[in-house]
Amino acid sequence: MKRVRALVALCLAPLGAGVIASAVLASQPPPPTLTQYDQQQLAISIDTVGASVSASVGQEQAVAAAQSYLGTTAAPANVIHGQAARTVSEASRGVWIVLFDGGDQPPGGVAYGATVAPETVLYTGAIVDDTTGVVMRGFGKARTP
Amino acid sequence: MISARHKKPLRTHLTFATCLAIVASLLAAATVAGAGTPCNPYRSSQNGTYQAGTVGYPSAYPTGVQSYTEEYDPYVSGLSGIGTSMSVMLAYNNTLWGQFGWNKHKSGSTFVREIFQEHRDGMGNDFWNTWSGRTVWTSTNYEITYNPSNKHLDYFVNGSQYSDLGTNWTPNNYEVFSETQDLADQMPGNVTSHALFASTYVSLHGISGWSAPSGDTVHFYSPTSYALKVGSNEYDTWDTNCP
Repeated sequence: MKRVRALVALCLAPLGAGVIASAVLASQPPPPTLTQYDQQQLAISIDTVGASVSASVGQEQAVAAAQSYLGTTAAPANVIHGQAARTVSEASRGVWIVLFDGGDQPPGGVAYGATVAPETVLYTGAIVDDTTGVVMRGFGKARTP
Repeated sequence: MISARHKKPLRTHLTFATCLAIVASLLAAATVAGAGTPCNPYRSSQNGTYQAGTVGYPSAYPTGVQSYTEEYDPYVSGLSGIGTSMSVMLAYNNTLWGQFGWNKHKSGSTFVREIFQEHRDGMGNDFWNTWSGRTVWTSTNYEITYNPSNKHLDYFVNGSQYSDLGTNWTPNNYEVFSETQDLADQMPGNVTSHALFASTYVSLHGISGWSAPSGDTVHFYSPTSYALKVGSNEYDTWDTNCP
């Protein structure tokens, strides 16, 4: 009888682990993404799925540049290839978009007399030129409660 | 042709002139260093919003604000993650805004100066962009314009457009402010060397061109900072603890 129980437990163990793993994954927030609206506001265009990427700067170098620019040692939540310009007056080029979960509150200040509840920073990031490895600009998004 | 008789006096004159030049350059350097060195105001940390500048609610809604803003280098303690800034702003009441200027804050273990643009779209989103900062002690024209036809705010540095973001609101006021987020930080400007918003202009809906602000109200956080309107379109700010 003991042998049967042990055999049943052995057979069910992987199933149990799978259930637990699924539960853990389900409880974790999804990595930050740039919606179409975000891309429009931030003047960033993400490559379509399956597009070939030709970049002389690798993802690791882009991540290091982004971490240095943003003053963080956190691992990025997402590294995406796309097209962006430093400013809207300049031509778009191939870039790495390095996204981090959360991050510092937006820079600057508030309107005079504002009583602003703390915002939730959804993501911060840096746009890295995929040819030179230079950070072209930083960006971020927060939501007001 | 210099005769031998004149050689010695000329050398003396040259030496005297050289000395004068050296003294003048040293004085100039000392003046620049006095004005340019970040000044610790030696105040206890107190987190908050401290502003020195102006707000204007014109009768016609504003469609633009611009100012030649001094690229000041204030003392920043690093106690606030947001840091210190000088910026221009188009806003709706005190809830929605787009602002553009420079910011100095602590990033990791270092202090950085950068150009920043923060933009609230009116749908609960707050987007921002940052670019590497401009040279300190120069003056930069930061400009925001509002396009009524698509409700976009456009952001310009010295006439070059940096970004273009959409909103669902129309501004009803303009602002020009120096700002800190902690009393331990220096409000841009010294008592003897103010931080300048020079050549400040606004544009109003239905009125063509740019004009000097009028009917605006200067505000500052007393007693640690001061703001002053000089002439028709210049605003000076400074930290009262920084000589």
